[in-house]
Amino acid sequence: MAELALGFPFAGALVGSLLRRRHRLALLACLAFGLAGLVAAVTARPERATLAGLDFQLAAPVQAILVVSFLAAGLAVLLAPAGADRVALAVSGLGGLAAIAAVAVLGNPVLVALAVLLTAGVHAALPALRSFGERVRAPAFGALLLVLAALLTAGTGSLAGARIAGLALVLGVTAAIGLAPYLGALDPREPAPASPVAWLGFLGPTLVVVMATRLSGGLSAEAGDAYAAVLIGLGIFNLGLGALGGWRSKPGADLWRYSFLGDWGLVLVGLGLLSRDGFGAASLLLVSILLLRLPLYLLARPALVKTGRPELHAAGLLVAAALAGSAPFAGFAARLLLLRSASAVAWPLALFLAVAMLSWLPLSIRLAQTFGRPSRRVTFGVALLLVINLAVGLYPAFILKLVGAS
Amino acid sequence: MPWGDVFDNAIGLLVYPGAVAALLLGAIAEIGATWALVPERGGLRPAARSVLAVLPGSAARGFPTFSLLAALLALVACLQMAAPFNPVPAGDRNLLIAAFALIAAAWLTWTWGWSRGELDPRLVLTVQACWLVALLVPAVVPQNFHPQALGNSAFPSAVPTRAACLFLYLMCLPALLNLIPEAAPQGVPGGPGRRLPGIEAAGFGLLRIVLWLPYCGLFASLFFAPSSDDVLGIIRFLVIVLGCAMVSVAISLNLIYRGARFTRRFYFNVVAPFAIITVGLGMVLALLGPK
Repeated sequence: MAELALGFPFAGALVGSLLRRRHRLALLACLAFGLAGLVAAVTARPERATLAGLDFQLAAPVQAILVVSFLAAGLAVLLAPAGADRVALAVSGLGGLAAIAAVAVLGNPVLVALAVLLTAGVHAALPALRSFGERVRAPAFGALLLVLAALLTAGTGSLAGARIAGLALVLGVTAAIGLAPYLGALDPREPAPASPVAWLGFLGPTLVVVMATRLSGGLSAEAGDAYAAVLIGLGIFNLGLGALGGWRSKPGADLWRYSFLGDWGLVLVGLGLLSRDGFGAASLLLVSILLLRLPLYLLARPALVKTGRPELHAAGLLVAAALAGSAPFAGFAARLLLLRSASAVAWPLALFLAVAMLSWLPLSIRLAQTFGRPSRRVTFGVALLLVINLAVGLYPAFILKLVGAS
Repeated sequence: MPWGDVFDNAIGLLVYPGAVAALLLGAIAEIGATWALVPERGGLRPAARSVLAVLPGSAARGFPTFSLLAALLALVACLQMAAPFNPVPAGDRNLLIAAFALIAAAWLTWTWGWSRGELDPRLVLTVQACWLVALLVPAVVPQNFHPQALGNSAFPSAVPTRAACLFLYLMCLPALLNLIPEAAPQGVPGGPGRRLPGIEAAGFGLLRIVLWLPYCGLFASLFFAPSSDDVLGIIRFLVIVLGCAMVSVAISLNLIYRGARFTRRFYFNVVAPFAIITVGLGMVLALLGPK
């Protein structure tokens, strides 16, 4: 079934493209293939299977994030602004899901890297405001580092080679996602499928979980230490840069970009702690990125383009609370788990994390202001997202059990 | 060569998997492409009518020589496919012959239409180079040029290269099959023709119909295990061939929809570097040795 989770969205993107000008039929086809892919992802077994010479495997944590990615794509199409070309969005979403599923289910690390490389190239070639070179640099470099990591892991038995592989793996994934030091500019006028948010909020979560669960599996214990240290170092860097950049930004697209960075910093630290709590925290944060921060950014994008006066409404306070990771939303449980795990390793790290988390409280209020005066569609979307996030926050054990971190 | 083999080759060239099969399957693919690319025309019947409209009327006589030569070369490539019931013995089929025949067919078309301003020779030459990579790199590790052997090859170390070549092959098809404006002397299927109706337009149209089977059939032969010589085998082969055609139409539609700038960027900045990386990967994995 794992291969069907890749096949259905791929076929859906193709059929959607073929029927592009028959709008209703195209949307129906995209919906049918998307649902079929979701069912395949939910029912896939974790055992390794071989088809046409290719190994397919879907480990439990990757499966959970893949399923959440399907839901996030569905939300993006459902909550698209009035007048948006939903067929183009659905086709792009299914294409993205096919890329995510390829990364998630392909057993061969070189193939995973090639899938990332191809995705990077096609994504950068999409019409957008920034140049092709500017957009392809980081993800293509990341994909090439992943190829290097895969070849080194397979081809060398030396400790130095394994350490370089670990380093290349972490740097490759951070570069592909577009985290600091490979951070790209975010322009709200760019269509979402072509903007860096596609990597930061949609393709990145599965890639990072695949890195943590499968790609790093070939590293020895000694190389694993170096891998964890680089992850924590990059996590702290992204967290610090996110907070600092957020404080210096006006309420706008830049603030959103740094808010993604802040969440990703916490994710990297959580994964680098190499503990069950750390992994659980990282998984909850990734779910929160996919089901809250990404769709909220998509809802706020039309207001960001208009650059109207920032306004805060009563519902905005709830949005701010959810974005900052306050109780009872999903981010709270994630932050609590992360602090518990970090304090078990080194209290200065936990202290730094706590300060960085608290710094996002006022920044989240400024983020909530970017919605301006929300339309009824945006209000409905925000309410739906808050309910989903509340459900995850009230019962995080469900997600933790799915990813094997309970 | 024994007379029996000559007879088998002639049957192959003229009937199956040659002329008759290529014309039938090509017409189906062309009608599907016309229906998908220009839905304003209506259903499949108007699409079929527009495909048949390229054939010369009773007033015109014959086809342009270049078109017929190119079509003949395409049929020679058909003989090299690992298609079920192919009368050409498996040991006589060769990937290199198919590659040279199809490249020569494309070049014949280009010498014929070289000076057409609306076309992009640089793009087509780049795509041909990338297609050759997709075609020949899978043969590096097995050291074998027989399509059916490559389809069956089971070297785990070659799997990433084969997968990369599969995608590369699919990405090259829109330009090779003349499905995008930059590579279609006669215009895209169903679109307003660039040539006046007549012998020349008929020549270009016929050639594209004949090209579907060799390109898509070679894809099926190279990247999938050979189909058995029975009805199920034929059905399986046809499904793969038509699936490949569908994917190439879908890619073409996306390229046309996003415009000429995107198409150039896609081929020069995505497909060409991906081909170079595929060659590099093939070399590294070949050095690591077949496991």
